[in-house]
Amino acid sequence: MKFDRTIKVLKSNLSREPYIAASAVAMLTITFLSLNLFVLSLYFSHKALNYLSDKAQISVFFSDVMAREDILKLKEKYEKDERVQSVRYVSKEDALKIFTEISKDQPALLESVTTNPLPASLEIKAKELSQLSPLADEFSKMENVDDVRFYKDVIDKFKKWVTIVRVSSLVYLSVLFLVSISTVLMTIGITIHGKGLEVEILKLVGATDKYVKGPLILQGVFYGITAAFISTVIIFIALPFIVPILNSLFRSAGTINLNATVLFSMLFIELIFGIALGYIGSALAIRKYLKY
Amino acid sequence: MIKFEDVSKSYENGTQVLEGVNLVILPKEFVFIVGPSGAGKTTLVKLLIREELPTTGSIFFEDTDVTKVKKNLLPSLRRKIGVVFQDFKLLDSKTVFENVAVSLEVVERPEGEIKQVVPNVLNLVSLLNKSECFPYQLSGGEKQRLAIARALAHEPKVLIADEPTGNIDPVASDEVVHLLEKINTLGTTVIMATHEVGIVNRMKRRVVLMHDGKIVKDEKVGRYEV
Repeated sequence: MKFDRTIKVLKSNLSREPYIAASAVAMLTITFLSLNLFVLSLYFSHKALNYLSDKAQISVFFSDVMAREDILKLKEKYEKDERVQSVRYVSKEDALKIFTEISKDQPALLESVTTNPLPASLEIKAKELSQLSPLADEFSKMENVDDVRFYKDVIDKFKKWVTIVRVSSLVYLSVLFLVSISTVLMTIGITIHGKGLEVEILKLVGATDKYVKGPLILQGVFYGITAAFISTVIIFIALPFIVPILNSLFRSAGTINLNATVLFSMLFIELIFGIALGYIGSALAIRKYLKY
Repeated sequence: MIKFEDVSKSYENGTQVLEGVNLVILPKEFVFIVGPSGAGKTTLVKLLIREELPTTGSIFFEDTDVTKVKKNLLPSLRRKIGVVFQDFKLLDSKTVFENVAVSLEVVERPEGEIKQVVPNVLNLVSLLNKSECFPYQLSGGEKQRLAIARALAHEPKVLIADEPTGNIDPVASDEVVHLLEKINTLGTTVIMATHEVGIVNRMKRRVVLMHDGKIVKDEKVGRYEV
């Protein structure tokens, strides 16, 4: 069947069944909207986790008897360690500067500091959160190490977050995919169910399978594309209201702005998803309802 | 042109609807297949267009064994045969014009040709003035004429009419039969399954009488007596 005829039949189907077409698009739009919101939440939580992971570090405080050169040797050694992302040396002088800076509103406190009581330290960031704990153990066993600080509880919570978000993403996306397929199956199924006789007649007058299926498949794809487009437009309009809410939910990550690339990527992915969903849904519906 | 060779058909529940049917139909013939309800007339039609398969035997359309045609080649077989169904089988969502056009669209005729052919065919069946009507706006006789127009549009070699007068009044029945006769004189083989005695006896054409799934009489110029 020629493509222009397929388009003609599609137009005719849509104009003669506007309410069925509208409800199919509405159902799919709701599905896509929920997918959009989920992806946005995932994006924000991912950013938040990255931010929190980035902040997680071990602070190793050395006693004053440990020579600066020895600490720098240790720094060099750990910079070559595969588990370590970065090592920063904070000298006694740097520590005092930081202390002075953060205590500048408390002159009484600053006056009381006559000598520098602050220790030199190394700030170590690991590539994986899970490696912080073993690294902390290693340092605490070393000589001339006064204290090793890392916020174990917080890191454990991060790890739980990462696992929960990843697992729930997979589960949610799988469920959403099944729900979407069922939605398309139902809505397109309703559309084509009434065409059973028409399809039977077309086959009896010599129509090929392609001729019969073409417009129905295209109808499903059309629903998918339209719904993807509408839901993305709605999200674009709603973004100024949604972003502050998400930012407040993930405030620990600081303010996150969605740029045009992210939004157009979302539109692109949704269009692909819409086309695939429309195609698979209508192909399955044809098999289910028309006994091909 | 059409040949049934020892064709039998029975269903899984054991019902035998055709038994040892042998029949040859030549090009340009007008043949009545007659018999009471349940004689096997409709089954014969269904087997010829491969809507169903026989349990045993072979059916030839020209040189093709219909029973062995692959599924993907069925459309091309069906395009050579026009079928008029007792229940019309019209596309309710399409206009009179579109109902006829569809049989040309499926054989991928160009748009321009469709616009030329459809009015001619509608004129032949006296429905040109109803081109834009939908089937529900037509009378029973008009629906049947539309079904004939659709079956004719792509110029099939054979036109099969399965009880075409079963659902319409006597006046409309006469119109339909005259139309089929006219189509036959234009060179198309016509097979009409019916149980209407008056029509068969008035036409004086070949009559194949069926009873309980068997051919019990085949006369060149026959009559049908109940």
